[in-house]
Amino acid sequence: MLIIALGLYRLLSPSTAHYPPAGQGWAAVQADFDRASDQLSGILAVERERSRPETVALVERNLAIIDAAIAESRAALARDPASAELRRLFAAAARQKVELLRWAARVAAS
Amino acid sequence: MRIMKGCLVLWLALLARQATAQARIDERWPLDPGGSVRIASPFGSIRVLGWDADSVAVSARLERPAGRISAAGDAHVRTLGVDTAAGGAELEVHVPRGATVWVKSATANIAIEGVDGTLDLSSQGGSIRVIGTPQDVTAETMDGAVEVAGGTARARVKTVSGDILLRGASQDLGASTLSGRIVVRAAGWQRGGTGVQRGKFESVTGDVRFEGELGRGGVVEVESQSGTIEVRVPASTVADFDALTIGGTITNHLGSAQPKPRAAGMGQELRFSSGAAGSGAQITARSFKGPILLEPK
Repeated sequence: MLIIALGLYRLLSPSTAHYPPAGQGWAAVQADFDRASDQLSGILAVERERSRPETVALVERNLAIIDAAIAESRAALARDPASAELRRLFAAAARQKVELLRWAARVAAS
Repeated sequence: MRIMKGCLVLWLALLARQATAQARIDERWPLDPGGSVRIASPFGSIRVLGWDADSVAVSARLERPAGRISAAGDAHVRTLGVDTAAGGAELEVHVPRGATVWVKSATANIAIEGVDGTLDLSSQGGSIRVIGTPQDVTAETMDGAVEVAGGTARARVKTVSGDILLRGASQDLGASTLSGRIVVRAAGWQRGGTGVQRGKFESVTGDVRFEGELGRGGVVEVESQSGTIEVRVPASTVADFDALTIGGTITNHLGSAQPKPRAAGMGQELRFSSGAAGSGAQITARSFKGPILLEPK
């Protein structure tokens, strides 16, 4: 839970406007995102049966959309790792994914 | 003739059964003019209306008579809840105009009219509609549409796939969606507003359209991964424009400035001022692969 909290803090807080430079700091942000995303996906998988089928379908449809967007951003970042704009767009998409997962987990648990 | 009579009797019987199967509830409690009302009703519809009375009045029709409305609190805070045994509930709640209103639903549509206080509204699948001039609006829904009309000092709207429409004379607007569409129609001072002072609109795949007037010194940021970004402002707008796309295109009809390839090699960028630089508003558009259009309104 601590990892999720840290990941969410780093991805969702307004301080993400100040993206660290490419290198160790940025790699840590991406790793935080991956961890938070994996943890929330795990929670969602456990809670899945408690969700309405239409909610599950909606979440899965939008997860596919956002995963594709994140994959595109990652590929572009691999080609141009120093781009502040790409980091910004990646962070925005990552935030959206974490928020979607968090929302879906909350709905399933309610 | 006998068949017709039979049908009529059957229809009346069905009508009577339906009438008794629904439960109607009317209640009223005192509430301070600036008090809080919290409403949780999962299914059906929720309509909240501001009025000039120091009380909360609830009028509800429950789909199933087994359902109940719970009410708790005092003149500062009143909490209303509809249990799931009610099935759908059509809820109409009158609150003092200045009240703070919190509403939560699963699929029930939420409509708020004439409330000037703070609104915090969330739904999983229902739509959210706000008409009036609330001080502050927070609205979240997964796949329902959201509309905020009138004017707010501050609005924050978030959806997953629901469309977002913000219109009126608001100052500080924020909207975020994953795959929904965002449309902002901002009224200027001549319609009672100051123009948008601060706006941030972001999507992943949804299109984003900002149309309207900016306040002097106003700052608007629009960002999308792959949706079309459209910015339409009056041709007379004095602003610094800063547009950048990694894999899309930029089209500018707000002047003669034309986009150029990014220094990094991929995409296009365009920076220009429609007046003395730094003297007016600031508009920033960022896109990964969607097109960016700058047009006169």
